[in-house]
This record gives sequence, structure tokens and C-alpha cells, in this order.
Amino acid sequence: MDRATFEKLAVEHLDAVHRMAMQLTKHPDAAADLVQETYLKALRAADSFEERGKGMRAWLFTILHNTFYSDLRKSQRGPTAVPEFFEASDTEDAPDDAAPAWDLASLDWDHVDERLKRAIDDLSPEHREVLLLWGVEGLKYREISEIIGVPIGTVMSRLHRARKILMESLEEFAAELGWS
Amino acid sequence: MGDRDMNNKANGGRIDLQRLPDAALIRAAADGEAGAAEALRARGITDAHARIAFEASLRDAVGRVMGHASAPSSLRAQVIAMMHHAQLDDHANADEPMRFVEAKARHDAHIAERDAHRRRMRPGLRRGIALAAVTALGAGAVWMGMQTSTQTGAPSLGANASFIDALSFVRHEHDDRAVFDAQYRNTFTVNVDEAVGIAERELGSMPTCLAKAIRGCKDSGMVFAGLSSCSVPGGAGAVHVMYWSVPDESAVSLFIAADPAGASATECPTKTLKCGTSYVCPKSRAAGTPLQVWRQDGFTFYLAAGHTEPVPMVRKLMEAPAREELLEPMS
Repeated sequence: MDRATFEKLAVEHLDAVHRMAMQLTKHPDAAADLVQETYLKALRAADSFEERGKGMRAWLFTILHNTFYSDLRKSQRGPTAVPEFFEASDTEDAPDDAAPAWDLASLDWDHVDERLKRAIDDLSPEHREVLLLWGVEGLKYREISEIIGVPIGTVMSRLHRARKILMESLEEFAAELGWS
Repeated sequence: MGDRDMNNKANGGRIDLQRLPDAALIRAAADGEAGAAEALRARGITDAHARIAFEASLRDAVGRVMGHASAPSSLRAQVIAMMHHAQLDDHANADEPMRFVEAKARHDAHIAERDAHRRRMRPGLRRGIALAAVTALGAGAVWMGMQTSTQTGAPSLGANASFIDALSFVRHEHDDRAVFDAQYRNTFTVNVDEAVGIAERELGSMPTCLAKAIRGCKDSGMVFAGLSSCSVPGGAGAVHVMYWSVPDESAVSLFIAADPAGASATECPTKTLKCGTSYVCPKSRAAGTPLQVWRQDGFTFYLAAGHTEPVPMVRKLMEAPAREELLEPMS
């Protein structure tokens, strides 16, 4: 792939890369720095891009993910702040949830966005990251696991936790509306 | 490492559907994971259909809530500009935030070498090279006279070789640098403070519009893509400023030459240009390669672009005279 094609393809995914950076950092300036660093690293490694076998978007996500957690590790000088990243064994079986108590068909999704947004903002970066890759980018578990470098079970576990928190938030919302 | 992970690795990363609890299997089915729907049907969960629909709705809602944001245009511009002059060398300290700033020492060394080379080159030879370049470019950027000069009594520029030199230099230099090649990266600085320093040194004083145009061009959809000293024929010191136009993704060049003090109109032909007027090359405009000249505050500004779209933005940025006159080729 020539340089011009590489650059064009990389810039096409800027929105997605920026979204992920925002979800990880939750700060516009930090996200912008992370995006620039990601693209600079991608440029430096452009020659090896085709050999990796991933699509450009997944490749950029991987660089961004590694950059973010590498910086985080340096700044915190220890792995304890993000245990799931450093201990990829966080794959305990998800408890088998029952179906929601309220009538699913009656839920007005158009009115839950704000509640969902707040619930998502309260999630940890690693849960937001998986949720984004799953819900926005539409990636498969395997693709997510390759990007963030954890087993599929961990991806499922994080997704389970994130969804559970969102469900609880929606349950509260449903209760407020008298649906339960 | 948990049993499931061991199993994941043993299965080449596949999900062991048989071991998934009902809720996880329902989610996997809702997420379209291979084989999950079949496994779910085999398990015979009564309300599976409704729960899958709910999970799918939740995913849609998450996509809606998290998926709206797009990258700010300023960041897009920075990334695009960075792409064009990223330092691919590994000299950067990995612990430092990586920026696309040129190494000052390399820049200065290059400028010194180029200036020395230009001093060694005879003026006549330089003009000859410029004229040859014009011919090679199809003479599209050459205009030999000024229609208004005969109407207003202003001195004609038609036979002034220095003016032809300047115009061909501008066009040629823009075309050469707009490819953002290695020579561009080694010559131009994108460090704003450094750029201001070079401009002050080369021009004697800083045009007020230039300082604003370097520091505040983002709002106009332009990215400052670098500045370098250069030698516009007929001028004293000069600089070449490059912008990257974000909307149409093209390069724009602005050359600013200080009028030499005490020079005659023959020595410095642009002194005959009327202040308050922008002169447009009609041939280049028709060909979609704008080239304009105007004088202001003791400086001559040359604008060259690959497309017409960004020209108004740069003109506004540089506070170019609103009045425009066409230059006509000499028959």
C-alpha cells in the first residue's frame, strides 16, 4: 500500500478513533493528544500494516488501546489501577440473569438515551471501551479481544458487566415511570 | 487463568457455547456470534425471542448514545497536517508526547546550505532556469503585461524579467513543495515560534496579518503547514508560508517578499503595483490554478494554490485587498 492510500484510509477512521479516545480519556484535550499519538505511531509502522492482517480500523484501535494503557501504566507506576488490563483472568462466569421484570415491548427507547448516557459515563474506561467496540463499531467478540489483547471470555465478562449496569439503570428508569 | 480462557485458547479463541449460562448465550445470539442462535434454540428457553430483541434494542441504544460524536475539525486538520510532515525518524524520545515539530538544527543547516547555494548561482542563470521552468509548465502561469497599466498609466511590467522570474518562481516553488516530500519536511518548520522568528529575520519586520494568519488560521478551515525562508526574485528577504486547506484537502502557498529599500521600479517591479488591489492571473484562474499578487505595507504577497476553493479563505486570512484586477498576457 502506498503512502497516500495509507493516509487516506487512516483518516477515514478518524471519527471512530476519536470516539474511542474520548471514551477512554473522557477529556477532549487528552483524547486529541491520544489520537495524534496513535496516528503518528501508525505512520511510523505504516510499512508493516498489510502484514498484520487486520483492517485499518482495528489496527488503529489496537494502537490507541496500547498507547492509552501504556501511558496510564507509566503515569501510575503500577498495574493496580486497571486490574482487568493487567490480569486478563477476570473471566468469572456471569450469573445467569433473569429477564427484566417490566414489559420489554413497552420501553420507549427514544426517552432512555440520557439515562443510558449517564450510566455509560459512570462505567470504567475498560468497560466503556468494550461497550463502544461492541455497540458502536459492531465488532465481534473475537475482534474485540484481539484489539484489547484479552481472551474472549474477558470480553464477554466486561460486556456482561457493562450491560448489567445499563440494565439496572433502565430498571430504575422503568420504576420511576411505574412500569415495574 | 480461568477455565474458560484455557478453553478459549485451546479452541483457537472460539466460544464454548455449551458452557455458557442462558443469559450469556442469549446475548451471544443477539450479538450474532456464530452458532449461538442454534445453541439457544436447542436449549429451548421460553422467552428467548423477547430477550434477544431487548438485547438488540439495548445495543442499538448504546450505538445511538455513544456513536454520535465525530472528531473536531481542528483535530482532523492537525492529523492531516501531521500526515504530511510527520517525522518518521526514530529520534523522538518515546517518553515524550510526539509532536510534528521539525528539528531546529536540521532546519537551520538546510537553510544555510541552500542560501549558500543561491549566493553561488549567478542571477542570469537563475532567471534562465526560471524561464525554462515556465516554458516547461506550459506558460500557464506567465503573464507578460498588465492591462490596467496602459489604461491607468502605471509602468508596464511586461518586459520586466525580474517580475517574470518572481511569478514563475512562485508557481514552481508551490508545485514543488505541495507534494510535501522529504525536502519540504527538511526545509519547513511547523513550530509557530520558530516560524515567527524566521519571518521576522527574513522580512525585517513581521506583517501584522501574518502573525495572525499563523496562529489563528484554524478557525478558517486552514492548517498552518509550515514556513521557510526563500528567495523571491526582485524582493529582499522573503518567506514561503504553506497552509493545508481542510475542506478540499489541498495545499496553498503564500509568499511574502519585503520590498528592497531604495530599489527602483525596474529593480523591484512590484513597486508599480497599486496598493489596495489584488492582481489575478487570468490564465491560471481559468486553469484552476490561482495565482494572485498584491502589495501592502511594504511587502508583496504572492498567493498560489492548487484549487480555487481555499483562495478566498487565505485572502481573508491575509486581509488581501478586496478589489481585483486581471493581469493580461502580452500578445
